[in-house]
Amino acid sequence: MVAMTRSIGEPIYTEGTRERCPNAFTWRGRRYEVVDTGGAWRLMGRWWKGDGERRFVRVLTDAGRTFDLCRYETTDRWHVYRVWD
Amino acid sequence: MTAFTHLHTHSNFSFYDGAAPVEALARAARDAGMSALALTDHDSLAGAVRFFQAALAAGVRPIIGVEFTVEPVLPEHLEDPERPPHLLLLAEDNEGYSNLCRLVTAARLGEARRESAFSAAYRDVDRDHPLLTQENLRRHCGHLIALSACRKRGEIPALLARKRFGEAYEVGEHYRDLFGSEHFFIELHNHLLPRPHNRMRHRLGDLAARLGLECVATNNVHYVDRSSYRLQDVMVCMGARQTVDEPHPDRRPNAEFALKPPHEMAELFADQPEAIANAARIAARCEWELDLESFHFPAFDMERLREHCARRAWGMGDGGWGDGDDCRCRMEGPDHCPARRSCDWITERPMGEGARKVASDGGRCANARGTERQTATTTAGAGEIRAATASAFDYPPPHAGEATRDYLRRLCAHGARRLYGHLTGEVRARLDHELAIIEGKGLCDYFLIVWDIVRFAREQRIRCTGRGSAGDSLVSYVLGITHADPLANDLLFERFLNPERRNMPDIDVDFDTRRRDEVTRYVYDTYGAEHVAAVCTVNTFRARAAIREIGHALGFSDEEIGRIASLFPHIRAADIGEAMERYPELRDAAVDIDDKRLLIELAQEISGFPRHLSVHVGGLLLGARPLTEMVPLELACKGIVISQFDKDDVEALGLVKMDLLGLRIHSAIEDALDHIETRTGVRPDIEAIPLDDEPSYELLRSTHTVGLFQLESPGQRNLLGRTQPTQFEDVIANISLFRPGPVQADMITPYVLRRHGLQPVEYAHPDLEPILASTFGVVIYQEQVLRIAHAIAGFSLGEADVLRRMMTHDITPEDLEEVQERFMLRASERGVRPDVAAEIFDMVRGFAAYGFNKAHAACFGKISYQTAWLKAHYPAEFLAGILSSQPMGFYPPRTVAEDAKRFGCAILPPCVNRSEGRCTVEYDANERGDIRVGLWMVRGLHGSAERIVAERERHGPFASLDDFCRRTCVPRPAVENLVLARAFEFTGLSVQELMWRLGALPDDVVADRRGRRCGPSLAYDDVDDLVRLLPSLDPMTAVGRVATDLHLLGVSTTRNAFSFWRERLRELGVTPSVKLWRRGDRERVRVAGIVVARARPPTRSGRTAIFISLEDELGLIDVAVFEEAYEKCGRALYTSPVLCVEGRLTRMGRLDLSVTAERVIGLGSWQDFALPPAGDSREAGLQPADHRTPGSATYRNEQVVRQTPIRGGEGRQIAMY
Repeated sequence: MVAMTRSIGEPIYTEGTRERCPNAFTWRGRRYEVVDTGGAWRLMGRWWKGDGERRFVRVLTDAGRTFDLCRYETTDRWHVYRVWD
Repeated sequence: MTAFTHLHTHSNFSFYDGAAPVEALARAARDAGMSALALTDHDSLAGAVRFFQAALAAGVRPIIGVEFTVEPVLPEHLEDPERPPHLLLLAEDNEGYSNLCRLVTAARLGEARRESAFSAAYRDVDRDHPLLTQENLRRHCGHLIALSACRKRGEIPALLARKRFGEAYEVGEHYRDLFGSEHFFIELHNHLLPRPHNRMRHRLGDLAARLGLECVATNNVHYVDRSSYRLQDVMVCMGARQTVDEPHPDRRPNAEFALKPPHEMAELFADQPEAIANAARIAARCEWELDLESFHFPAFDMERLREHCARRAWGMGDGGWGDGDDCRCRMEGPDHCPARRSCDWITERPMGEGARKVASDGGRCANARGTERQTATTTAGAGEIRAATASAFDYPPPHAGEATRDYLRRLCAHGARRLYGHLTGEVRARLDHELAIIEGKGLCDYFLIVWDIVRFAREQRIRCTGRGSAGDSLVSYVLGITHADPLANDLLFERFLNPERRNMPDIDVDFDTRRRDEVTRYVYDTYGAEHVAAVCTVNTFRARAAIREIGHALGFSDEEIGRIASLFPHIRAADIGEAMERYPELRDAAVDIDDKRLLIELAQEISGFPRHLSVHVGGLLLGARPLTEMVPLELACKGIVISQFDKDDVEALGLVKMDLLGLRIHSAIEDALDHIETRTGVRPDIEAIPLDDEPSYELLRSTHTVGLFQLESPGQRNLLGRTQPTQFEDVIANISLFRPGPVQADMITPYVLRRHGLQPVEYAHPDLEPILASTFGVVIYQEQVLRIAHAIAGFSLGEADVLRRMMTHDITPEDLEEVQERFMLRASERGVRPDVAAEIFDMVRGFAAYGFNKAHAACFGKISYQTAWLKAHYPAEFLAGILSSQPMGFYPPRTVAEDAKRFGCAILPPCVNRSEGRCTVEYDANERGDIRVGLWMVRGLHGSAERIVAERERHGPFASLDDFCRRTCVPRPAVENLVLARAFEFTGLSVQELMWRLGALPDDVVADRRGRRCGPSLAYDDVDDLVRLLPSLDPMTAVGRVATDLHLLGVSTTRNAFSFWRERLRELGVTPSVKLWRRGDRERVRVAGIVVARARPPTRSGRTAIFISLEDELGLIDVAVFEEAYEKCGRALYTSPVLCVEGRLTRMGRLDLSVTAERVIGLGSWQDFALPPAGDSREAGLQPADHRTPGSATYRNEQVVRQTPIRGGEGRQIAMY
């Protein structure tokens, strides 16, 4: 079975932080609890345009869905970057 | 705490890739608690020595390695042939370090055989893409630990990334077999990259297990911390000559390539802890140190010298035949010439440049005729001057089996007898003292090596002189290395070679620039190319280069970047911010720069980073063993083999370096002597001219010193006017005083006042009088500091030199207190009152930092005096020499030419039938010398000058333009320049007629831009038809003549450009330079001229003082611009080449005139000034209303613009006005 992904890029409300990853987050009105992480990575944006680094983390939620969450260095806010369906 | 060592670290010596200075890396490693750190730059060890020193200073154990670009093991599977794989090698011990040097050299120089520094084999070397072949790697793979290198460029990870598992295994197997499983490790990275990349380390771990190898964690460090990421990224773009908006495979995706502390590394490799442990284990195996303690001298080859002396006695030279004063062909006729070569004795050519050239080319007893001149003297206005003799520099041959120590002593005694007539007690004692120290330090061979190089130069008649502190040594003087008498000038050996210190002596020798390569070649031939290399210079990023390169990478346009960069003076990039606040010319432009904050920030960050390696101006490295055992070598862009270590690194390694520098003034002096010889038949012995020649001092006092070595700058001319020198000691003092230190310490004013009796000379202690009397109580020389410490506190001269050095360099308050206590104690033991001792100590301390090395000043002063003598007695010959040796000195050629006119020498246009390459002197019936412009000076002629002269000498003068074109193959654009510069005036045709005819000449007569003739073209008869079509053209105007000359020759052969403005400037109330002396002190004046020199020396107060030389029609005007005026007019001062200055006249001496500026107005460019003014002027009646710049409509209408009649080909528009 091939996993399908969707790029989202929507800001989310997060709760607590454990190992540089939120304990839980709310996306589109639904709260997800992080039960496991599947790797973290970092990518630099266009620094010459003022973009900072983006820190990504792949999380498995209590609902069984996998998300790639992303935090922007410049705004220090978390976003849902991608959803694995 | 986790033990971890970074084994893969790039410093900024990985050019355009690493963004960390080695010192910062060492400090960061210490701060992170690491006990060791490796440096592994790309294909280079250039940063190794300074990293070694920095690491030891930081208490971190240095490990030396290199990340090589290697030939792939499986080339057929290489994804991009332009990007060969990397392999990282670490030296396990000293032998491993030697292997690294050999491998770097092999990668950089390829298979080229090192026969000579100038070997044609290097033409094929690809400097930009070093590559280590597997064959070379196999040859020198011992004592090295290899790592499989980075994720992208390591051959194994690159194959794994493409799922070529079998091939990756094969490559791993290859290196395992080559280095052994104990010496080859698989390198793992965790740079927090997205999943597929991050998975690589697990695949690598699996592969290592299958191969029976161990893994090691590294971080492929490129900067100290994350903040340097953007600098590193922009550097990669700079190196790739692209902008940051474009992708490049070498750009890193995030900021994780920093020198991470051990705990972070352990965290990143929590699932592979053995990789972390292995890093520490490998580091422990690489425990060795570079030998920074001992010296490595090559031995002087006595046998070779004996052979040379034997050949010399037989009349044969060193491979060349340049020293044939006693050649047998001279004595017994050409049939007996042992070389059976062509000999001057046969050809009877006049001596001069040609003959000398023959000698230097390896031909043949050229000096034989020199014996005829040995007894000749010249009386041409210069008193009884001894003629130069070939035997002035002779030496005894070494005995069989003679030790170098004994031979050095014998040479010294011989030289002393030659110079002093006989060995006096003083000379003998001084020689004994110096030789004892030299022998004690084991430097006999070193001195003989330097002497041998000078001997070669003298025998080949290559002008040379020693400089620097070597002049303090009598041994150097009697060996002929230096030419200023240390006894007569009261110089101290300990300043040169201190028995109290462990240091290598530094002997610098200047050679005639045009012939320096002959000397270098001799060194290579003598010691073998394996043992010789040029020392490199590390070129670093300064303000302009940083702004240009970073600006391009950030996407700014060339024009914009060029404009901003040109605003900055030549300062460090780190000082850009300060300069923008401080300098008005930058402050005014700040609005433009304001939106370029990022550019300025990055430029400041990159300040001082190495940019590339280039050839040191004169440093040559000599190794006792083949250099590649200790020094990595590469090819500089000039095509010369250089070491990757600079002069400081080489000194730290204890290798012998000698500076064989090129000095253009030597070329100028040689030219002048040639011209004098041509005129008088006698070549004056410039080394033997009397040092009390009144006309020479008169010239110095007149301040008309343009062209004089070290005495021509505006500040120096000003000082000459104030000091009014009367003896050689004054020349030395002048050279020493006009230095940043003495100027900053304001030592000049008391010296001048006391010299003229306007201030009393007082000594704190009677013992100071003999030391300071010659400088009127002012401490000018470092040697005086030594003597004072010796006389007052009883320090030995060696101890005194240590004291001076401590005071010169940054000294901590504690050290200063200790030194002072010691000085006071020793002074009191000698009966000096404490208050007097304290006063003297304060005086010495104040001046020690500023004092100048008298030996250096004496060596240079002798040359300065020689140039003064030449200009005073032979101005045309001397200034012709100066013009031929451009670029040199302080002034552009046009200023030198105007100065020559003021000395009564006309500047004659070049002529293809009369000019040589260099400028020559032609005499009229009254023996007045005029300077004929040489062909070298004609723009665009490049190497064609020699060809023209050779053709003329071989087949006679050129009959016409057509004849010239047919015989020389000079490219058409160059012929056009010759025509415009009046080089065909002898034909009787006007410039317009000649240009028309040249245009009509077909392409099989005139060569194209590349010097090739081509056809088919017009039949030759058609040319005359075309020439008959020439319309009636006005002759070239006077203004056009000057502008053309200045453009094509750099000098005006007719009028001064400013002369066209004579009337206008008079109307504006501008005082000409020659009339300034009639005006009173503090009187308001208005002067104008072309800026010929600008200097901004440091001042004691730290306030700005700018000294400018303006040149008007009749002479030079010195202008001083101080802070207030500079703040108002800074931009005009630095952007306009023609200035009008209003201010007050300052008269400090009889001839010391300068204008202190109150207002400075820019008047455009000198080209504008070369055109006659028209209409009313703007800006207080000073600005020309019509800027008649080339290209403007007004300008074009005044010219005859015509298309050359030739159809197609090289036809171009020629503008004449």
